[in-house]
Amino acid sequence: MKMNRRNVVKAGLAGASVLAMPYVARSAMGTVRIGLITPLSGGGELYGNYIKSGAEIAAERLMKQGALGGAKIELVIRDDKGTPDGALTAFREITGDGVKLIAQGLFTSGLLATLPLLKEVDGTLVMVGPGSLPVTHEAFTPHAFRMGYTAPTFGGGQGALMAKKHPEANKWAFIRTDLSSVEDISGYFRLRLKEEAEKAGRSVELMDEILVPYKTADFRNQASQIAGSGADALFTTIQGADNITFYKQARGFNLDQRIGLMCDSGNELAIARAMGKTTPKSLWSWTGWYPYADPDNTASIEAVTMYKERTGEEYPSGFFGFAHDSILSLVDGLEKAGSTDSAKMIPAIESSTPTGCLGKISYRPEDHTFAGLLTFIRFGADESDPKGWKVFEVEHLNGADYLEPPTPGKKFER
Amino acid sequence: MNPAIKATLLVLSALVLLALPLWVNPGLLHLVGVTIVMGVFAVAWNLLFGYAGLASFGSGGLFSIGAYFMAVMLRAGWQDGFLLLILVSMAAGGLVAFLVGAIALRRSSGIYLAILTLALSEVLRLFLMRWHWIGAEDGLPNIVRPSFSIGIARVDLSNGHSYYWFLCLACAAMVAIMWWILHSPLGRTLRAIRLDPERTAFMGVNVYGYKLAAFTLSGIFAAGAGALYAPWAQIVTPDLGNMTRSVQPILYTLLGGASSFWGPLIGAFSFSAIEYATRTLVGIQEIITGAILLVIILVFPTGIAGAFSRFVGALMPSEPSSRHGSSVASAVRTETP
Repeated sequence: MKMNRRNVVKAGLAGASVLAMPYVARSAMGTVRIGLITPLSGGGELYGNYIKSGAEIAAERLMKQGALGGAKIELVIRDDKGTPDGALTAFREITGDGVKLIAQGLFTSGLLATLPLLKEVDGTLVMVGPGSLPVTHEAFTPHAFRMGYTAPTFGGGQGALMAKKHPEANKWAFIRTDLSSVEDISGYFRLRLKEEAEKAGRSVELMDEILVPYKTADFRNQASQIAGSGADALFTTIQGADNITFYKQARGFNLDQRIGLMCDSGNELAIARAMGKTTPKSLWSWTGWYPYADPDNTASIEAVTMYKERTGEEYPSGFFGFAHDSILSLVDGLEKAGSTDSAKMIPAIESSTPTGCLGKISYRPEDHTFAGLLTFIRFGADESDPKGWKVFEVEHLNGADYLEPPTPGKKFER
Repeated sequence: MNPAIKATLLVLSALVLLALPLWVNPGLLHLVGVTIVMGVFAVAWNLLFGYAGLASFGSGGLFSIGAYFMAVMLRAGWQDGFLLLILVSMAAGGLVAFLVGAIALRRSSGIYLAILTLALSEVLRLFLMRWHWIGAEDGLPNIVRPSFSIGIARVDLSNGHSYYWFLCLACAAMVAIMWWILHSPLGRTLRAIRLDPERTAFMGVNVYGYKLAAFTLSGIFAAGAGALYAPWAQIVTPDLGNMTRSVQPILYTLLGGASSFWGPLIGAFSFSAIEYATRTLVGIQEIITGAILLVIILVFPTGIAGAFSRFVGALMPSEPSSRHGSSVASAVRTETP
């Protein structure tokens, strides 16, 4: 090409238009609509409300920061009632209205219903908080990203952490709900605990798991069995409200006095909030998000401050953090992609690592599973605190070190 | 109600349903599809309650048998036999209902029968939750909408709205068969049993046999509804057989009117319409839905269908069939268990 005036002007205009493209796209965005599908009634309502708050506060924060060239971020919120039917109706409705960016959680069945439809609607979805394996294994779709941890990751991580931090615990008791969804949590805890202890040249005795049916109201026999077992550590994987009943009844057997080290799989501060000053004296738990874990994380501190101003509650559940970071992932991806087309959104999310409530957000490229930090907290009863309980210590592990191997499109076998 | 008015309403409803894919949002269309299936399921339940006087709280179990059977077979690639699969699903539901009914109806009635059927349904749900081969708690996703041959042509239900239209036709066929059964001597005998079983037995009717037939028929159509549901939702989970699912046909029947054959269908559509209209009122949706249902059930004890019949009867007082309908409705209101 000749270097004449006309060609220089042409090249200059072409270059300027390429550079300006994302900004043109942003100003054309005006309002960006993001769908949020979560249970706001029925059994998952409690968690769904945290998800809704997390998403709303994320949208508010991002708009304040002038994300997407100052575009308005509108959340289209729909209640999936915790059922696949509800999720499908909501998904089809919002995608039928042209929404292509979606955050959805938390029940696996709802996600399994909508994941196969993403390609058809050219959508990009961030899954809020699911822990089950199929969504990034046999049901994997490149259109979806998991903002949550799988059982092998947090269960295995906790096992490894306990082996490192508590070499004095040599005999472990286990109690868990008889549901296949929690089998892996306990299974991977045992596996990594043993591996880590053996690495350190120790051997640990792992007692057989005590299985309890879901929705049990009487744990006295099991608590008595554990108290008399001679175990010096306990790992509890009991679901939902059953968990509170277990710890309440365990008080009658002084379990927290007799067992030196008590660990819970992930009910974290829900236990303290429910039990107040009767919380066990010391309990380790994995948490999806502990807002005060890193005082330098402005996203986390700002989000929890806004939540506290709104509700008066100081310790929202981890689902709040997952939802916040799900919206952040989508908005950050859109900012980089400049378009809601999934062909542009997917690589943008894959390559970007924004900092959210949970720290640096990154997804494993092979199966889009979350590969962020794992957080564990030790908390317990504390008379000096007006709440009656306190968080004593926080530990982090690199989640990527504990991810199960990727098998996109295939079932993962332990 | 005047048969001409009834026929006009039916034709209009059918035309509106068939034309829906051309103008409604896909979300609403999905909900309508689910509602059609649930309406058929509710009519099947009312075959027991409104006609034979039997209350089952475990119909969700029969629904899930049909749904799971269809899901497993379609995922295994048996698309070509889709029509046959529907019939086999119905036969499976009927067989289970027959076996349960054969024992339960000898030993229990009234509330005991209701609790027994609920317990059996829960056992089935727990079994499904623990069976890994059929997905355990996560259920079976990715159920394909079939494409099959009918000899002279190939029917492809996987594209566009074709499965919706098939669903409409298949449900219409099931409703038509149930209507025919319930307006036959069998239906009239069942009504007689519900109103006075001792007197009917005295007249030489095998009351147990007829009740068992009603139980089996209800199971056949509940499983048939489940079989049609699986490819529509494209996922089945153990929750299909939970208590909420079993209570849905009861709610639809009470809302629409147990005394009318069409009552459960009207109830299903009314409930879905209320839910859809209030879907954006997060947090107060349940309160509004509950309040509306309460008002309808308290103000119209014979349900929406009964109220509508009375309304039409009042507009056309000389219409003999409306007087008859009204007396039947009041009889049902006082006698329905």
